[in-house]
Amino acid sequence: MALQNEPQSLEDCPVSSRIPELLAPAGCLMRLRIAARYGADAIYVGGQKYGLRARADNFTDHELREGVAFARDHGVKVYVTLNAVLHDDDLTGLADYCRILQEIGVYAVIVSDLGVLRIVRQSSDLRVHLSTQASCLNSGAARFYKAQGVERIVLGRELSLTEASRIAREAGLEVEVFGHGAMCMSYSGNCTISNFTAGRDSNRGGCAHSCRFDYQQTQVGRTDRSQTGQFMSSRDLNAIGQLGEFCRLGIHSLKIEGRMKSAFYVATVTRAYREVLDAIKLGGCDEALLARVKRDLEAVPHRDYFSGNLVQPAGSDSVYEHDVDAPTRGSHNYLGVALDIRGSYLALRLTAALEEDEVVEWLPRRGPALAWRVRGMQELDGSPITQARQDSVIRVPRAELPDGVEVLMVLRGQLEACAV
Amino acid sequence: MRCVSFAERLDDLTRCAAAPGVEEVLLEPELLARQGRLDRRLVTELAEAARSAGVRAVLCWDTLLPQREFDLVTDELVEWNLTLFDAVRVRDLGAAMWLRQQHPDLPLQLIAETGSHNFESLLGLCEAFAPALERLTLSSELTEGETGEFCRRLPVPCEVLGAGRILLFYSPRPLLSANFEPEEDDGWIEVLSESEESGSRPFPTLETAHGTMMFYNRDLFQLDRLDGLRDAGLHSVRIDMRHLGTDETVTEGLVELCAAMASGAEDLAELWPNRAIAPFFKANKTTAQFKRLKSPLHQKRDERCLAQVMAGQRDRFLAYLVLRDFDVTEVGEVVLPTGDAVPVSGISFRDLEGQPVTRCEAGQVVTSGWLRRVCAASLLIASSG
Repeated sequence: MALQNEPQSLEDCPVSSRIPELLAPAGCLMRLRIAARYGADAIYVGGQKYGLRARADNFTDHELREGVAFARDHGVKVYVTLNAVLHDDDLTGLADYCRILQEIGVYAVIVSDLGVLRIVRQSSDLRVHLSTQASCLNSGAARFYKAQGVERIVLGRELSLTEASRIAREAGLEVEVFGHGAMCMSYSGNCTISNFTAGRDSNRGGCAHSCRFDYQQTQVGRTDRSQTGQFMSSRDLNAIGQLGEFCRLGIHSLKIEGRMKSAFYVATVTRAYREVLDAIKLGGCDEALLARVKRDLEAVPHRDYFSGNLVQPAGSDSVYEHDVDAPTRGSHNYLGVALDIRGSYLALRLTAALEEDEVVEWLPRRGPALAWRVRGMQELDGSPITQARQDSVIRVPRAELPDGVEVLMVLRGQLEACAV
Repeated sequence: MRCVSFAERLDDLTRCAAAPGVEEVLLEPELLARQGRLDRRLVTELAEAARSAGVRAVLCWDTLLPQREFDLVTDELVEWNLTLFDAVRVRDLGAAMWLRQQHPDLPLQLIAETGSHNFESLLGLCEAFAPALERLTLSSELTEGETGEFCRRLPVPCEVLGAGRILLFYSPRPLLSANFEPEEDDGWIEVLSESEESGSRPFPTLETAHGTMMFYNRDLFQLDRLDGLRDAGLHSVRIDMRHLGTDETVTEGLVELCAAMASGAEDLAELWPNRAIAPFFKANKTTAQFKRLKSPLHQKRDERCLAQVMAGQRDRFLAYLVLRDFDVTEVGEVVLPTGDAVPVSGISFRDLEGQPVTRCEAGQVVTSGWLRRVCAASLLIASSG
């Protein structure tokens, strides 16, 4: 007996032409501003408690208020993660916090725990999105959560786009699908390795990333069969080649993973997806744009990309086998960000050392990177310098910069020598 | 308090029926259970045999189900006679919803071991699946106090794992078959996985048709400390000996263990062949380290926070990013990354052009003279007056 309204096959799903919301991560206020400037439609952040990133500083209430105001001014929504799996003692203050989030103007909260969901609903009118941590994988589970008041499901990363589309239609809910970033190898929320091996609750923000470790393995009963290496470290998701399908299948939101990741990552990835989605909206993405955007995505540190389960279930080739001492790689490194432009100068915060005559690139909101042969560096007291230290702030005369450089623009450098 | 165990053969059923306190067996078909080996015919036979032996037969459906797999499984399951079973135990809420729709009178047991660690969450499940819900299986990460509280307050009976493997990880991906081959026709692969970063403990890791599971190197064993929970109303305790079995049985030693429990023996743990722990029974301190992971500065980032020190040049200047508009007279102190506060008076600022400013704007980069002890990431705080 089939469920009512069940199509005969997944391919029977109707098609749409919705451009999905582009949802970017932000681990701090600056990255929120960068995500907004680089084209996010919505940004998800963590508050001080109740989320899954214990090591991140996350947003204080004050910062959240500022972030929401900034986002609103730029037509961007802010979602707050309350997606930890909480014990009773952890729930203290949650209802008050929900009322604060509502008063601040947070658009929605992302939860995974049914108890948290119920407290949010009892204490506020906040919209509720179900976190991927809940591993909602089918339309039946989606219907359950809809009945609990959930308006959007962040689907498990084990699903294809076709499955996601069908769940949205059958459950009558918005669906959010991860499009880029790191992936849990386990069903999300179903890994407790850290709890038992490191004394840190992975589902309350303490994940120790045990899946990225090297393991020595011996087959039970066969000591002659062994191997050493990563076996449960997933390659990173990259859906830039599937964005047409996101649109065709009417996926409501495309999510970028990475609240712990750098401004370089946030800017690069948000910009890449924004450019392709905008091109699709205008009629199509040409090969040249797609090729450039793919190159840009290679720039940030990542574990070899693959398309996850978006097209077909991930197989054993989805394991990322890497050198443990150099776990991620990218073609470029993060050099810094333009903090301020006033009068005749730009203030540049450096995350890596910079030398005069080095050729580096500013990453604009759209279009090719802006090459810059480094000239005119000065200490903030005006002393000229030819070398600038990592973690310093320097000033550069605007006249020495390429046209188009603006505040919060990210600076990158190619890891191999390059010249213009 | 009842005992629950697993059965894969008639011999297992015989042992379960003979074991004091065991009133229910879990039957795991390959179609539905992560570690299921039974085909439809065998699971049907075992269900009938269990009932004949006076033991409840519970169909175990503990896989998570991506939509495509859900369709395949339910297409097949509609052909099964589920009335042969006294209840169905499910993990995926979609499966629970399907059963509620297709078999509204069939008692449901919900596996709430992952993702439901508070009363409100468990109560939500009880309310959503009443009246079919007959039991919740609770997480091994709960303390005795939490479990007891839930047993007392929830409207549905509860079960805990009394002894058995601790599941650490469950993935749908086949993670072993790239490097190892199955030893048996069942296609299962089991290895021991050891990492230096995890203390070189060998974690049993199993690939079946449903993906890959990793278990802790020690078993959970708390059968010898359940008196309090029994008094709190704990309904059932699960004894999982599947990993201790041979090809012939998954209940080796069950009768002796249950008999010892029933007689109140004090050395129960000695009857369990593997090294065992009950890590969270008394306390769960898995968030205790979190405070140390956070910067002491974090709480200072409020409306009194004026600027953040971004960098400095020793004995020359400090660079600040202004976080909110302020007048120089508002400055009270600098709080260091250590949390220590350094009082500040008479500070002056210059803008990017090097011109003195008395009023700073949010987003502006300004500099001041060097302040001893102050370093990057320190925060400039307004005076409390």
